[in-house]
Amino acid sequence: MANIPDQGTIRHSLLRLSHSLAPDLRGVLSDPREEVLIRYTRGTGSFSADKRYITLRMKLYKLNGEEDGYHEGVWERVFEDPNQLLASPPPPTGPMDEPVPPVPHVQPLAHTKAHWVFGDGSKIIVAGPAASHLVQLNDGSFQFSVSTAQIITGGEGRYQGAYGLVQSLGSTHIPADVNLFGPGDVSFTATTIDTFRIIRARYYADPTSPPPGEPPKEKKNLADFPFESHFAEVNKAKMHYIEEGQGDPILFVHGNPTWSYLWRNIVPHLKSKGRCIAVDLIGMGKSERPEIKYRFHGHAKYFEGFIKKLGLKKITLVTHDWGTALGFHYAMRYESNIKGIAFMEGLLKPYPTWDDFPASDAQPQLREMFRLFRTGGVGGPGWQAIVDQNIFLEKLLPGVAGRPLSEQELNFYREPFKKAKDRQVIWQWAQELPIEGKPADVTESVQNYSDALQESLLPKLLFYAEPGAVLTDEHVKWCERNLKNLETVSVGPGAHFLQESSPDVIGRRLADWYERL
Amino acid sequence: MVNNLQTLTDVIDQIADIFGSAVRGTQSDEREEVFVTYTQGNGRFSPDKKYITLSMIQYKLNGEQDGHHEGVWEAQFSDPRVLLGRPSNPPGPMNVPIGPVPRVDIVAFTKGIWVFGDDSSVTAVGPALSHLMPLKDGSFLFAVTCAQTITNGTGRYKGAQGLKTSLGSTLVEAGTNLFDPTKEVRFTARTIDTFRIVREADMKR
Repeated sequence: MANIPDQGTIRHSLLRLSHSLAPDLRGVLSDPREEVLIRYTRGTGSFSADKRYITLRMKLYKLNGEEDGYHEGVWERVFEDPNQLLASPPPPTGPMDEPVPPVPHVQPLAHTKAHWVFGDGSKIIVAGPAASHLVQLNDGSFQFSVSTAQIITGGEGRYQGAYGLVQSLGSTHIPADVNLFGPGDVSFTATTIDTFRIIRARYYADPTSPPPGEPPKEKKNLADFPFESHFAEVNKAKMHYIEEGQGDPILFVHGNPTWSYLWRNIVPHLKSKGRCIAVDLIGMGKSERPEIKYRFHGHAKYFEGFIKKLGLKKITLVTHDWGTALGFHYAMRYESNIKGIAFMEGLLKPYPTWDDFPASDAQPQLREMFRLFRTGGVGGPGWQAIVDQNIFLEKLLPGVAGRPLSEQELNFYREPFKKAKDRQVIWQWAQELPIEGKPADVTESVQNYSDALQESLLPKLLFYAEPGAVLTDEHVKWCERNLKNLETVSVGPGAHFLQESSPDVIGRRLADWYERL
Repeated sequence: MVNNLQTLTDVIDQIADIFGSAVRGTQSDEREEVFVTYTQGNGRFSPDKKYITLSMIQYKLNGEQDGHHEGVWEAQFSDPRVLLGRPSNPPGPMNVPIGPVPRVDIVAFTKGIWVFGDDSSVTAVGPALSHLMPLKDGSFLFAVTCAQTITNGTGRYKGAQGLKTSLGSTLVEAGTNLFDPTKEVRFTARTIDTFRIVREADMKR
């Protein structure tokens, strides 16, 4: 019985087969605006009488075999002796994984021009250098191959005004009794595989042209929060969340001192992809404030209760700041319920010393500020700064938002924490940071998820800014070295609240990544 | 029943393996091995912005992981603005073996190694074109296409010869200066790689 393949195994095999027969090329896109095409061609080639030029006349096919127009092109050799084609360059020396020389300067043996006319009449025109090679096979025949690197010079139809690059890799088999470079007319059958990376005109910003004359689009108000409130009762307290879209859940988890408002300009990018849920952690945003200590494990209990209450399965987590810690803590214990984790400006591992907080290359002012926040306990200097003077909302958040926040936006962020007693949760978060082994229970949990994270094959997406605030260059390198199945995205200049400085970049790249999960 | 189901999944898996990276209808001869892979990973500039290295995970077209790829790109230009330009459309017929064929300037040279799942590898070198395309939101698409010659291989590709191409890109977000001379710049990247290989056993010695 144990050897009977179950339905899952058969389904997996069929899925592999379908992917093989109809490959999904989304994984090769660097951006949704980029168009990647793979085509192959079959047809005939012919030499000029002087053996200086070859022309190809080919039928063009999609990978599924469907005919899709035609391809023509001209190859011009720049070598004198065809015996040069039999030689391979010597193997390169030096490392391949460091940006250092030497890189051999292998010159092209030919130049090319070509066009591809697709089934709808659209055309791409290119030019570029080519490598060419001749291999003698064991029966005396030859394999003649050409590899091109081409730049798109123009286009027609849907590719009018398009830009991009193309590669073409073709070959022909030459029977033993035919001298390809001998006198007389020689024709041959040929085949090529051609790949295109294209930016269509509607996405391209011509740096030499004046701005297009079309009327400017109405600028959206970044402050708007046009979402309906929902509540779920968890451990006898109401937790607030917003929800948009349908499908597998995409759960957005904020950190300190924010709430679901943080995700307002990112959720719209994802709402057509899945069921977007942005939750307010217990005691934060519009969630209730039960009489608890608001320690990390208390938050985790409510967060996990929320997931259970809503019955969320196959979750994709999108996390920030302490939301990252809660997300990792959950994901590493319930990995089978997670599809992927996106994270930014978060907590990856405990900080062994204060010098490591938030990173050895971080701004020292941040370190000193948090030292103060953790001084004196309730009523002490840290309490006074956070609870009494509301420094997180009034100074820290606008200071590391990465752009000036409008008064309207600041008021949205301030609203849940107007009363001093509601700011205890913010103060407690600052006490929970696992620095120099304290608090021990948080340090242990963070170390546990950090260890598990380094073994996990779950898809991971890291957004980082330059210079960032708590997730700096040092952490990005650590992630690249230690996390498997990781993609990283630089959102450009920014500090801590990347959702404020780069919402569209995050939304767009998140949507692209999510589609590939 | 057990045998039939097991055979069914085995056969499906075998077909999937055959088509995992192969592109049907593209061989000129049965001794020629033709396949396409793609890679995803990270790129890193040298501080002087003259070199890029790629550290990539390699996948078959069906999405199965199949080893890794590393490589180095060496710039042949001093002003990155040359990457914004492109030549005019080439003149003359495309279906007659006559000139002129334009000389497009080579802007980089490359070397790379592709290590497959069974640890066999292919090493290749060759010239490259690179292109920087400004997008309307202020970001850029930076793309590289390489025409490469295989120099050597290991494992099943020991002594192999052939050609390959690589076509990669990365999105450079608005506000990021890929060629900033004051700091190391890193980026995510993706490539599509096509191989035409003749193995040593099929070549005349």
